[in-house]
Amino acid sequence: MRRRNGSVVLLSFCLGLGACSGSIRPGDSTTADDGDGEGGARTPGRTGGNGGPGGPGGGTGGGSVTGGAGVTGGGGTPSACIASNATAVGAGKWRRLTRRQYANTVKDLLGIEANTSNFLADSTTGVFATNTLPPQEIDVAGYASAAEAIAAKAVEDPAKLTGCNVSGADADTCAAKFIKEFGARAYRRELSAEEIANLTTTYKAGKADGVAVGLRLVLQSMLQSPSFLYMVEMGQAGTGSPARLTSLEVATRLSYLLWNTTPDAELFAAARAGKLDTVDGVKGQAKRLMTDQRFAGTLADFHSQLLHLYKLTEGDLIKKDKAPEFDSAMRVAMVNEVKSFVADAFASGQANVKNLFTSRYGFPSGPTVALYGLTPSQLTNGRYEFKDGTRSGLLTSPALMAVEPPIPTPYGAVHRGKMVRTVLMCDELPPPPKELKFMTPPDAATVPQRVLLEQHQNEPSCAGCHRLMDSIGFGLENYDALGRHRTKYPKGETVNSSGEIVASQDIDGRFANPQELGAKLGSSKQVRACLGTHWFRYAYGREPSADDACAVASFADALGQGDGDLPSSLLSFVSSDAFRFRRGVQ
Amino acid sequence: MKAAASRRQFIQSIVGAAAASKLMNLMPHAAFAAGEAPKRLLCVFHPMGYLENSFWPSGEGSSFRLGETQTALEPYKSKLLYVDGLMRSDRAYWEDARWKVHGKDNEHGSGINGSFTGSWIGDSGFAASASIDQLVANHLFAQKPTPFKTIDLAVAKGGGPHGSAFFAAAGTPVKPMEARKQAFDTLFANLKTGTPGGDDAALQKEKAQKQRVIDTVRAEFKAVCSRIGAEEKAMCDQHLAGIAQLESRLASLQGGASCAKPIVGAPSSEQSVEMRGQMDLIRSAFACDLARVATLQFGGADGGIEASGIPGQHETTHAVGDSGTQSVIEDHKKWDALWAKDMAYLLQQLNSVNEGNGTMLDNTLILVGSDTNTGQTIIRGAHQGYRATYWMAGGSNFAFKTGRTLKLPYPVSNDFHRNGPMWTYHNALLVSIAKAFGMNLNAVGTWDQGKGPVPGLA
Repeated sequence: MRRRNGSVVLLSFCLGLGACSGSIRPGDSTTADDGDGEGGARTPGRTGGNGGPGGPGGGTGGGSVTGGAGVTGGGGTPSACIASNATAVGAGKWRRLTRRQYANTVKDLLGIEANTSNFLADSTTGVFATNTLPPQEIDVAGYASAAEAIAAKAVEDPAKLTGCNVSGADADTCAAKFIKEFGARAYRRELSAEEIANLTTTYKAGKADGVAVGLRLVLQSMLQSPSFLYMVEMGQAGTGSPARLTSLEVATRLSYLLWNTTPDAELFAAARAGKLDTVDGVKGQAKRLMTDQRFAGTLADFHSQLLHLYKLTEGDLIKKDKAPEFDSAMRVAMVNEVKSFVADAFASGQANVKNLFTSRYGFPSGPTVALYGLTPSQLTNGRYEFKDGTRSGLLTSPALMAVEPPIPTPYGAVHRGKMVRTVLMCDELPPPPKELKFMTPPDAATVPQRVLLEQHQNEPSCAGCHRLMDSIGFGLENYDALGRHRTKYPKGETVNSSGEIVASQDIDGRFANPQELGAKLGSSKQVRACLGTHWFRYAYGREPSADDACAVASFADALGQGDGDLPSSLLSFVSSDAFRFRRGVQ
Repeated sequence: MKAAASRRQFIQSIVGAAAASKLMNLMPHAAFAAGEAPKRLLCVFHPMGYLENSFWPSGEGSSFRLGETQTALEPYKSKLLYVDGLMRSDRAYWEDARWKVHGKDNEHGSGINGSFTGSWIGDSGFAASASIDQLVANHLFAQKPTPFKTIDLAVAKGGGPHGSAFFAAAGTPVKPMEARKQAFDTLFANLKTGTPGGDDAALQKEKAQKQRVIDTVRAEFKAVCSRIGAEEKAMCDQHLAGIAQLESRLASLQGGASCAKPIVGAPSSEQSVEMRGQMDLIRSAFACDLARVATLQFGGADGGIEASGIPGQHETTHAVGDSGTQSVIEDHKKWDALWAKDMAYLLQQLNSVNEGNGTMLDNTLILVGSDTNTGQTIIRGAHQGYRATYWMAGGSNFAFKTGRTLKLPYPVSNDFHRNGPMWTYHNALLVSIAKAFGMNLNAVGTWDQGKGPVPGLA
């Protein structure tokens, strides 16, 4: 009964794609939607709905080859990459700190664990939590109650908070110093005279009930300030449009991108001294930040969000719950494995695209050890080398295999192929047509699995789209719904994981197994350009517009070199004009 | 008295609905004077709608019999209102030329975005206008501010363009709270249930301090917002609006209200428990007049709500269209009956609070809608939009006469252009609702046909 219903859903899906003529829709060439487009829409993979923006012009025979968002015309660096040229920098808007950034920032500034559970979920750009939509009433109320709780805790020890003497005649001097010095760290800039005056009045209003109350009201106000909650960017006065960001604004961008938190003391001091006004200054600090473990955390965060691994721990995948071993311990272990993998890649200098798709080692832990058919004693420092070649980087990780497909189905290859096509290759598949028709599927219990999988491609109205995704998904048939390696299906037949990539920009052709699929993806310029576009979304919280062609293309170029080293590519990213300038500043 | 009240609530929370209905009458509800009757709107979304034949009541006017899946609502029959013969405008592609230009996403996506907005999906990927609840909320709030303009709660709504049924503005979904504890903290944290008219120094001091912080923060926003480009304007405006809300909420720190805070049970993996818990929160928030408009979103456009013993709702609706065997139809009916049962709980909760000359239910118009519904007559199958299975309850003190079924003329076959009258879009229903709240509107949503309200409803 259940199986049959599953088949029905997928076949209707197949026919739903019948309108697809076999070409991939090119990305919208000018995603200039800075108004309402950004922040809200999610990618197809996350919702099962139709496409968000993006997708290169692959398969259409056009010359457009770079930029996952299809914003550039051909290889090379566009001529518009000049700071004084307004078109080199897309318009963006301020971002509110995400939950993670808020908590990290409070921790770093005050040593207090903030409870962010009363904030609404971050809005997303593509798949990434970026919090670029305007706040809602509940958010503002959440900030108020969080500020109240944090400030109350912080003033339990006023001397520790201020670092000066808060008793007697020194109290006001100490409070003034706190407002100025702590204020600068919280606002990530110097406070204006008006702000200092306003906060001093607030301090005095509370001081009637004790110095601690005065300090509490000051801190409570600061934690709700626009300059704390938002990455406010005013730019340097008189630098025109696009405006050159201030040294502190660049430091803020840098720190929240690479560490997901506020600038540390060293970065803040450098920025205060104006040292991030130069490319060399930015590079120097970026290099330092990228040697820290916190950067590894950001890499793990990026890839977890990219691959929708949040579904494992946020209660999605309801239907897969029905597998008893897929419990919360298993889910957490799956995610942890990805984190360990990324951290290790970072530590060993292997944080590159090729490694993501082709590495032959993993970090099973807890319940995933048995999932791999291993015992703990077979691991070395938590690591296991798959000398039999059964794995190929993150591509074949149990975490990803458990996320796709999200439901029990014999057609997992469709889901996985679609994920590769849309998330890793940034191709956009047309939405299903408006009217769905239905046909009776063959009985999955008696038809050989590969025949079942290929039926989408034998039916002309399905083949147009399904050959774009299913043939890729075949390459992951060696992994069951939870990512266990298999050479045979439950029905007893041998798994055939050969497949083919068609209509790509640079990796068309057959592959024999997951490893060859991984190698193709790991070497693909299209995949790297796609990842570059994802990083753009992650960094700026918006879809790249035509004006961002330069930034997107140069990042894609950098990732396209060698193995696609992430730190060095990010270095070129953060030293670009797009990172240091901003449009839309008055 | 106070201790007794909370014991009652405790009993209510553990004994459940049957006990609650008797006890709720005794709960304090002094937010309103006797005879005073607020106008409220509660919009409820759940996925997939209902199966056509077993949903619609038989008979017309006030002598109707509930559909066989809807019998759980029998006790509230006199407070129900059905409008049979509406077409979901987001699915009217065979008769609306605009569909070719604006039809985006699949029927789930366009359905959930259009269900309470009557609008197509804009460039943002979300509905191109605000939903009826938020429109009404803006209107009511301008007349009489409440601590919250709307209360938006959800269970398993999911993300992305398929995850939002309610919209504050074009492209801006409301962000409902899913955790009951969070909702409780947010809604009731500032609510002091002291002596009516009472006051004390500590409370006044707390209020003054909060006011000072609000003033400080607002001054900073105003300074920053005076120097920005258009990109940030919306952000500033909305944040300042949120601050204004915080400030108005300080009023409830005066210690005058004597409504009761609800008891929030532990989170449950049983979704029905979560849904009913949220219904409790809405009931209590209404009783304390914390808001006059609320939304409840259960699941998203593709499902999200699970029930043990029945295949998923999405696959069930598909199966009806595909094979249409008796067993899948029975599955669908089970789903429909489950929804009726949960909604009956909601009606019971609201109906058990006395208010003015009636009950809270009489002062609250409830509109239940979905992204799609399942057809059996004109087109057989999942995800249809004709005879849209919206239904209403309550609100008879100010909105519509309840206890009846209104039948609208509609085509009799799927040759829609030649067989009889054209469809009336569900936008007309949204217009009727806006008018019921005193709004001077003749069209709601981008799909609106320009026909005004549903004839014969008001």
